[in-house]
Amino acid sequence: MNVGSIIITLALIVSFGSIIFYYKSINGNIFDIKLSRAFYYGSFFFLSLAYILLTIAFLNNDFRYSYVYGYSSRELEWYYLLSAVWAGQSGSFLLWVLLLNIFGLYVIRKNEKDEGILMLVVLVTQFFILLVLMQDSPFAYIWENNPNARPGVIPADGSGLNPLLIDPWMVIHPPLLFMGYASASIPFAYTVRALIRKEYDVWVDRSYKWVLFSFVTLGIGIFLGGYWAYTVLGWGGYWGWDPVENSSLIPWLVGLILFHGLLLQRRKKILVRTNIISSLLYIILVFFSTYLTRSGVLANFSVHSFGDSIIGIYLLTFLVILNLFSWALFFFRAREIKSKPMDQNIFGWDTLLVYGLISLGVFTLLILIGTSMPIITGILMAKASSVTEGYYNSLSIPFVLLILSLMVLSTMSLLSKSVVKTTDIIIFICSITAAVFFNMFHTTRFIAYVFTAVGCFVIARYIFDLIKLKKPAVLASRIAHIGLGVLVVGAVSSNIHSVSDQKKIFKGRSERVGSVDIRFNGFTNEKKSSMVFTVKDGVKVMDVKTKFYMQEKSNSLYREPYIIYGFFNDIYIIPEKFEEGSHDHEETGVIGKNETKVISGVTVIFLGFDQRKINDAEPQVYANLLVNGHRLSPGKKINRTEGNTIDVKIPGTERIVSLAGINPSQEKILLHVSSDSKSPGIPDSVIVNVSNKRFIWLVWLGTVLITAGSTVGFIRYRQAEAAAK
Amino acid sequence: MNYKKPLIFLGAIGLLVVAILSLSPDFLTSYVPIETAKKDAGKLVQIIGKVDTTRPENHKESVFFFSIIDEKNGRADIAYKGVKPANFDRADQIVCIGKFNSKENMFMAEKLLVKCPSKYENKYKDGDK
Repeated sequence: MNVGSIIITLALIVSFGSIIFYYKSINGNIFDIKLSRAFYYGSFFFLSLAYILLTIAFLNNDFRYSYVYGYSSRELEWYYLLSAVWAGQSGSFLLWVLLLNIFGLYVIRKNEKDEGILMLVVLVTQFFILLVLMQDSPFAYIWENNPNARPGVIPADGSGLNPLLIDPWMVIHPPLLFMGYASASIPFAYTVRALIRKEYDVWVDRSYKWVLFSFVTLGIGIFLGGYWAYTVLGWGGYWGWDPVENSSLIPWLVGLILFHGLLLQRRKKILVRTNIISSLLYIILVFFSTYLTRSGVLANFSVHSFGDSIIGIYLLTFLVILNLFSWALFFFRAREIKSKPMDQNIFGWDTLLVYGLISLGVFTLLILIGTSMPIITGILMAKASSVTEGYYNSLSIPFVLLILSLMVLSTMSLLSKSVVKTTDIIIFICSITAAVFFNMFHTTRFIAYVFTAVGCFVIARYIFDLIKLKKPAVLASRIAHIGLGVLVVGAVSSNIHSVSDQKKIFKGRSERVGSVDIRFNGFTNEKKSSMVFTVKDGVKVMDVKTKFYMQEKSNSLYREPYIIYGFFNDIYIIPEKFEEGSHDHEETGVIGKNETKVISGVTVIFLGFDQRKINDAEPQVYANLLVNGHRLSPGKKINRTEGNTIDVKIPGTERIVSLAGINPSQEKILLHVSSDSKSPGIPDSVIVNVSNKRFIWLVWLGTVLITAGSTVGFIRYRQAEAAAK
Repeated sequence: MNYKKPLIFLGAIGLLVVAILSLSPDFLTSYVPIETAKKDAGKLVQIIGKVDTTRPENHKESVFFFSIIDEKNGRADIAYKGVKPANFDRADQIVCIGKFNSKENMFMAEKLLVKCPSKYENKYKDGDK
């Protein structure tokens, strides 16, 4: 036990104290509330202290701690040291629980009725995460985690942060994801209170902004992850349907359904039960995702690395408890929850929106099934199987199309009683024309035309809405939905229109790869070397350097793509593989009797000394060799210091073998093989992949607009809330 | 609340999903021993094994050839349309997703996952049931 571990234990103890007094306070005792708050503030104090302590440990390169040793090293800049705090499992759980605790403080500040119920939900989650941290403490000393390490011996340097994570986007990506995950507990708390107190209206207002907050932060986290994958990972894309990616997408989609549902409940008093289910599912899926990514159950099915499996049992236990509690509470109340019937008009705004949400829900479920397939088949068929990318791609096409169509139809019906109007027809025709021009010279795939047309229609229709309505109330929704349209068009062009080419380029030579001419100039002379290229794109010539080196500590290759950003295309250059050429350079080597050795690419066997002229006036020693199968005997004049070697040429080459030194007592010789002046050997080469990512910035723009729209919605809701007070 | 229409809608979507999945047979891959992969030639599967260092590795432009041996001593020559992955040489095991082509007597890998020993040491028991 050290100071850090003691602080975490103390945080656990005061959390438990707070739980007890909040539980007692449920019947309304003010004294109990005050006491439980005091304990809660205590937990905030200890959690902050633990976090600060861990940060200081990173800043001070305190490699006594196994966690600091594992994720840091002396060469890191201070801001990467700050971000290394959440680079690993226990540090990110600490961040999560601290954020959750801070969100809890907001709830307390609201001074709400039944604070006890709300805070109990927060505290139980906090307590559970602290239990995980007790098991896997970021403050464990290196000799506690590693039986081979001697107690008290501090490593001179850390094993280093994974260089893929040494990236500005990776500094903010995890905290945003954890903000999203942590804040998901708050709407859950309101839902639990609603179910216990049978108040099915108030929780909607309270939850709405938290759901939006969680949705926005989680969304930015996901988007940054995609952007980072594109700029750093170098496989050329931004989304790969990998379990780790899916596990954050699934809660995000449920969050999306939830806040649309809440919107419908606030306006039309419908979907009361559905929203409670969505809200329970939201938090359950947050923890299920954490389980998938942290327990190691999917380790064989993902390219990402996973956490420890001891944690898996904790997470699974919590997940079971969470599920049992939530569904028991729900089914206990389900019968008495009253909801207004849905509009019978099939083309009503709310009906269409509900159908859109149903489609989205089924789509989310299918992603969830796909992601959990290794577990499902592992249990049912005793043979773990995983779904392919094809599964997601072939399902995405009809579902995204269906969802987009329902989305547009529902907005259109909101404005007028008649569904189709002249303007809509005009926009429709323009969209189809735009789709044809956009795709014409790039693809013949029908699906590309369909998606572009729908995407353009979404964009144009919502821009038209914005201009016509001029109402700030619709701003948030329209911006976000325009963003979705832009994202869809960008996804079409960046995937379907993109072309790639791959070639091997020898050092010093230039090749046409894709749309550019690339010359490979070799490496920079640094510890973390870069490959140097000259790239000619049309008339533009530029010198390009991109990191490509072996990491010393992990002995693995690190490389980055080089991206030339452009309006029509990003030119995405990936040095795939470096091949060292065979240089017939000269080399000297020691070789013992009857030993076989390769010197400068030539196989030499030393058979023994030949001392036939040892008694001459000028004594000479010869070494009998088998060089590439030829019997050769280079010699040495023992009495001379200069010009003393009797060299031989390897037959068929210009290479010369000389006896540079002898050691008769140990029966060893020093042999020098010269280079072949006639053939320079094969130069170094690199296999380069170049792809043109057409209009990929549309994808980024789309995500920015979705984020901006939802943020506007969040801010407007908070303003309205403040005005209502 | 009238559940009838949404239920009909859900049913329709369900049919859609069944239709899509039945049209694309390659949406599920399972880990199989190499021998089974050879028997089920043409079916998308995942095989896992150690790199067979006795067989030559050959890296041509856009195709990478190598061989693996699995736990049951099955051996397969792999052709991967792509570049030798980074960290391949220090991989503990290689996962190949693809189909066995009996004509070429070769496993055509569409995707490779490189399993490095340091990170996955304890995890095989979990995922490799």
